[in-house]
Amino acid sequence: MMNKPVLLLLLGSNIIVPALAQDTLKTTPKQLKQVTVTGKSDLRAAKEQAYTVTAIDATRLHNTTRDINQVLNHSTGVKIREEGGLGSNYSFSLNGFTGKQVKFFLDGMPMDNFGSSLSLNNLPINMAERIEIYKGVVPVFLGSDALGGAVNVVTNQKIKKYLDASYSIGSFNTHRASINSRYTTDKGFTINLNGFYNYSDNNYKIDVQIPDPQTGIYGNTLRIKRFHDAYHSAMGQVEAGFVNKQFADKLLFGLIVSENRKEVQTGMNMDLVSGQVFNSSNSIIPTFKYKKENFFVPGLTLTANANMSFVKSGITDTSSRLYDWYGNYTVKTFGSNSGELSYYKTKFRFNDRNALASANLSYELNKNHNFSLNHNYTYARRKGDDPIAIDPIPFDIPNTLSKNITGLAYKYSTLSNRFSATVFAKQFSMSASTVDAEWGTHESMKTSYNRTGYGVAAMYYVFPFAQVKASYESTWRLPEGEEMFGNGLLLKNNPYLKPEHSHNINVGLALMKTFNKHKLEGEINYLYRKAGDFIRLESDGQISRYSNLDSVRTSGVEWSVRYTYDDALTVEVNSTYQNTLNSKTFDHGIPNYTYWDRLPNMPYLFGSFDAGYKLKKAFYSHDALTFGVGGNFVEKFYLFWPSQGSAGTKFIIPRQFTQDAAVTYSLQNGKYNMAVECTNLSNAKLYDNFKLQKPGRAFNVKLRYFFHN
Amino acid sequence: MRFCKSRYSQTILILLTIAVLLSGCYKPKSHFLQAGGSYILALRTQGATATSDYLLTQDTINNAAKVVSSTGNGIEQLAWCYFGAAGKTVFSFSYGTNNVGIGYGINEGGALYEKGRISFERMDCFGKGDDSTLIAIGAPWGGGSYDCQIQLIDANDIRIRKKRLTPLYMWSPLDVLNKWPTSIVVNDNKMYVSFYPLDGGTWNTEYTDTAYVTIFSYPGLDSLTTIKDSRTGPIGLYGNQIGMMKAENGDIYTVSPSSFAAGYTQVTKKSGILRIKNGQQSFDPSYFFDVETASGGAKLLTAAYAGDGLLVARLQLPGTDDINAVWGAFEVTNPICKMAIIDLNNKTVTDIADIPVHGGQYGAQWLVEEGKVYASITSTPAGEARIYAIDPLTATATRAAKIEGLEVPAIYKIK
Repeated sequence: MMNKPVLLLLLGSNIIVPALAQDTLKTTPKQLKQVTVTGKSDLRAAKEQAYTVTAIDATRLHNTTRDINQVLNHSTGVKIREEGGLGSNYSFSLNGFTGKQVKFFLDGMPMDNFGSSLSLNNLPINMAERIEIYKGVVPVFLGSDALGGAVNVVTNQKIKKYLDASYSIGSFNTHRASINSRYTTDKGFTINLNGFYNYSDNNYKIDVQIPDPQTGIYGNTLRIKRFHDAYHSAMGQVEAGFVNKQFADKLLFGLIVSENRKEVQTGMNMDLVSGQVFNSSNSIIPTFKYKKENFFVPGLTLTANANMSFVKSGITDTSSRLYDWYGNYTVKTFGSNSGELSYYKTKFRFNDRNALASANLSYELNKNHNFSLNHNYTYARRKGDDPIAIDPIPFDIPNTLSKNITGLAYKYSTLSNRFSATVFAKQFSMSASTVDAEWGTHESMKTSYNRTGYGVAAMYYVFPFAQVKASYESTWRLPEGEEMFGNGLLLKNNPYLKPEHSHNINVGLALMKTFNKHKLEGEINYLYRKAGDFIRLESDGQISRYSNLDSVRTSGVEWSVRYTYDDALTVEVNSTYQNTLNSKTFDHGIPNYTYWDRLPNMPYLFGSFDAGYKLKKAFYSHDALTFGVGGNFVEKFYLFWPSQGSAGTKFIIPRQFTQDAAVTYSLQNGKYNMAVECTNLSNAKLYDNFKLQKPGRAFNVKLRYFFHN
Repeated sequence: MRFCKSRYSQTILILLTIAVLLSGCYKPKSHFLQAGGSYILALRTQGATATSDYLLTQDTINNAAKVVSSTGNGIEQLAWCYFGAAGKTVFSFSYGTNNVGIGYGINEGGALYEKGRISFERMDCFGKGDDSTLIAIGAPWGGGSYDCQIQLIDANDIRIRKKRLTPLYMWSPLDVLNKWPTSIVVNDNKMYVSFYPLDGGTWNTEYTDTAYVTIFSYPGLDSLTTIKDSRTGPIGLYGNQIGMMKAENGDIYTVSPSSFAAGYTQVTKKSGILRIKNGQQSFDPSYFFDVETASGGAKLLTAAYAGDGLLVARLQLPGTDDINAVWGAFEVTNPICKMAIIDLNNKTVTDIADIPVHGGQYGAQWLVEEGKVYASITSTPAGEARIYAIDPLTATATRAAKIEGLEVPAIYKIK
């Protein structure tokens, strides 16, 4: 039984391994007694950490047309709410935490400042080898001030030479292309070329009532095509350097260039329609990655990352037209200085410059003891300008924010790796400055915070097939510049804004058992979150400001079951129940009458299933035919506090149940692939958000070429 | 093996038990049913991300044991609302996110029902035209566009009957200031609209040394004249507040706050009251009440005419007004207000000691019924929000229904 772990360790030291993730992964392969496919070892190792982590094998999905968001939406605890079609705004929530409370990483590098063209709904699934979702308790190697967890997209780091090129075409004039490639010479010079292109008209049909322009009376419900909702995004990445050299296991310099443009069809709901508004963004990101094992001392590993990002993003709302859903318009005579959606016509441009430097030192004293130290520095500068503004504009004077996050962890594991435990502490500090320019006064403002977080994670194999996990973290999220300083206009500053805090607890049981050709995996987790001082935008008529508003208590259970037969049939079912309750007793000095009410506008019960059957050698010895079906369920939920208002009049986001189906055909052992997919099979009226209808039934065809050696 | 199995199932059992115990703390709130009635109240509550508004009915409000609550009760509104009433119809106007106006009536069982709904562009200031007409004036944001839109809303059919564009007033064709409507009163076939000039982009108010009212024909909506008076500053404030009141004899009294907290960025005159005699198209030169001096430095924000020459008024406490207080009178949890009785004829101000220090409101619609005035008072020092029944003759008040929420922006009674 001890042979395989040794073999795996040997493999691990010879091949290129994921940049940062490896520190936590490397020490665990000894558990892999049950694993027969060594190629999946990183995935398995990620899953077996003491942290509550969902690790998704993205390679299984490389023939699908899904983006990373859609994949995440099928896992426990995660809910992604999209406002519309391809490229639409979305909100990501993890166990009840949303927005900036959850942090995103690409190979361990924070993606916060990458710009909207590099968000998870743009990245093609083919870029990822696996996706790790850390729930509540976040390992120190992901150095960030996450309140509720983190998502780390891990790209393929192992294959020396490969080319993965795909193109898909689908309903609503949707096109997606992606290319991922690497070439490594025998002397250790390596070059990566990656890119993607996404386009859609998003002209799907929705159900709307159109009011009479004179009387204001609403007409009957019509099914009408969206006419101003096109989206495109594009990205190119080149990365070159050396691997497996004396001076570095990996040394890479890279450049990412990306851009997107999104037409905006509606305001906050489908009552307000626009025909000219668009948002755009472009990013230029130079990157640096370095890794060296046995750095001066045997057992010491240094990983260092640095990048800068230059992101320009803009909102353009300059039209005086008043559109209706038919696409007709009149030129406004009243309020003609307002844009279609904005109160003031705008050509606003954000000009962001960000820098990141992070280093991780990991020292393996012996097989029992491992120490790691991580430091992460980020700097963000935001400047705004608006060539058509007649009055002061936000960020006219730059707003800067720097954060330092240091983490220290110690891990103990038994030689058999039956038990392991990690204790860690994190120091969060930030300083921010801006000039407060309102009502003619210019006042320089500076704020800084220091907070300490800590946690512990442990796992124990009760039986070879049953692993128990428990983890706890006391964590902080520091306010962002805009949250603290406002934008100099109607978004007011709040110098008293405090960091958000949360106590996160997870307890879980994972089972895995193989009976001949049958493999059964199951997981059940209980989670508890006690969070306070949530930073939320608070509006009072014209003015708004960020405040420490909510305090919540979340408890929940999530489970998943996966059955595999002979690498041919796969069935997976999971579901999540999370109950987030308002634990605030007073609000602005007035009793809070919604105390212990469930937080509204947040899904609390959802689940998904996926089933696939792979027919090998369907027609030839090297082909495979795969049939897949999947589904997603979200229970209806209230837009406002559940206890308030009489039952019949409440606004709800209706229950959703959607089904997808796909057929994939692969030739030459996966070199040539073609997939046909149908999403929203039943053509249901879908809403993730109140009164924002999502696309109906859609078809996609994907062609993919994958070559590697 | 048997031992293993039992330990294995034990583990699961323990975990499941913990999970069930810990998540079992939640019990959905029990809804209580409220008897309907002829009072219609708008209730603003602490929403999840912003406030949320409910419209509900109540059979009585003048009872300290009664509770105005939206727990299981009331019609949910989609966004922050202005409220208005004409005849037997009460309107809510959702603001910002969807711009929908909904007309409600009360059925025989005392429950609200929807009469109809309309889409609108902007409505910022409301007034009653007649029993079947609500007047709404929309004003542009952003500067560079100066026309306001007067809209007549049919309260029976729930439709916009008439629209008229007007800048309210222009000093000259080169005028680049917006005129923000603050209050509407109809009297003697004329519509009186008070306003204040402001920079549309910055909300700066450069001209605060004159009170302005534009007079239109009603229901023709033709502009007749604009009258001015420099004894005090502009009349009314942002947010559909009551800034003009009609007395029994048709005289109109106007309220000039001259206050930073009311949204002015400078203050150059004393807060006070002017009069327009019944049917006249000019301010009464013989009448001005300097409320600020008479009250020892308080600012008059809004008031209700209670009969017999008495106003029930909300005043901003002396010493609470400076440039940092801008917009401070719009936060219900900012306790800078008190209530007082103003005797228009004797020019006296008498504080109502029974009402605690409290916060200002947007567009508060108080109810005048049988000589009493019912007003919503949100007092953070007192730790509660409550309706008070005010007796203008004695300058006293009694505690009426308790508010489970932030405030009651509007109280109406439909017979």
